[in-house]
Amino acid sequence: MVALVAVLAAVTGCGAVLTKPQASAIQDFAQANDTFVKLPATVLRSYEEVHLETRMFDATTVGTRDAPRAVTQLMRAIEFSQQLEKVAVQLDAATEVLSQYAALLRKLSSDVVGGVDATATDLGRALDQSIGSYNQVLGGSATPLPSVGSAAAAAARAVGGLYTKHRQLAYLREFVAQADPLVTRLTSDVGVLLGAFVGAEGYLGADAMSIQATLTAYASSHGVALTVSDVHLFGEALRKEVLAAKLADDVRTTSTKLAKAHAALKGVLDPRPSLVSARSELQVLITELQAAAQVKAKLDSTNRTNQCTKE
Amino acid sequence: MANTERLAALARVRLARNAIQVAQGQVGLSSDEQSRLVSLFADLDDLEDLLILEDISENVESIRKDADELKDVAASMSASANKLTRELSLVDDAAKAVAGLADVVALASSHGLVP
Repeated sequence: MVALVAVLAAVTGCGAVLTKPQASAIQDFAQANDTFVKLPATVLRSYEEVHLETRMFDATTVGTRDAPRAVTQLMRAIEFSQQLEKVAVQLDAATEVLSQYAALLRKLSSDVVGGVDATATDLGRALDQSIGSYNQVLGGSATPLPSVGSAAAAAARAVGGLYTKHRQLAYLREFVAQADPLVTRLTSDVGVLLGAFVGAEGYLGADAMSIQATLTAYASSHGVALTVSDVHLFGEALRKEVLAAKLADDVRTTSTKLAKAHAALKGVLDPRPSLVSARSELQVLITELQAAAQVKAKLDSTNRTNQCTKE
Repeated sequence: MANTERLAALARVRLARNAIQVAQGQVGLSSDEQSRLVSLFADLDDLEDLLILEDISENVESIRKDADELKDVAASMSASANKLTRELSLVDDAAKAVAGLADVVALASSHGLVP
């Protein structure tokens, strides 16, 4: 047994191999990453909708004489939406790299040893068949060779499996360490981008103020009580703004947690891993993502309801 | 324009827009005065949109640059994953070679070439 361990250590070059908990931590991170990827651009798209509605409301307070200018402004608002959509597409493409990175982490940590199992079994079977033929040819003239196929298969399986898992861990350590400062910078820049949408002075907060001011101006310019439909439209726009602002805040917080989870993952792959800490970072991240996904679902449902009302 | 300057400009634009909205609510404005306020308000809207789009685009550009660097790491990872697959196929080839050798030994012995 000691000899076998020594042979394996010599073949693999080192005792460190990718463990199941490490592979699971990578899978969890990759999954959380996939959920996060589309969220930053969703904030831009939610803002685009809220902003377009804000500009539409602006047009409601314009008198007949200035109607052409109001039309021009509406066209410009639509153009702004289109430009913002282009930026959202660029943002999607940029954050998509996180998805590619997660897919490669999955690939590098996947259970490739299953392939070695099949090869080792084939090897064992082939050896036993050959030894069987050899013994048949010999007949009773000599001592028959023992069937060593299963032992050879086990050895091939052990060496191949350990070697592969050792190589996997070496690659993962190298790449996760290389990617860590980049993931931190990327998520930090996403945080800066989304920070501009949050708070009373943020883009969404400013639109909410504008909608409220327009509501006041609209009520006074028409000189009559607002209809239920008017109140509903303004109310829905404000509700959408609140949800979009919450989404922006949630995704901003999540981007920070994603960076922390990645740093923890790097720790898990280090020679002395702190798996408990990495797991708790991941759990926090998953909770945040679920919260953000709920807000996004609410926004989607608001949009669907509005679409149905319009139809 | 630097981000701080842009944010300061945005804040001033918003203050001006709010002031115009208040002015529009005043009673007794002539039609010309109303039109001037509408026009000024629209110009400020345009300026606000321009500043916001610049700000968002600049931030997304930074993210794109970060993404490009991460793409380089991803490319190396992809190459390593392929290398690992190749290494696995070497294990496979070795196993086949051993099996082939056993077959040859068996065949040779059946012809009396191996005692």
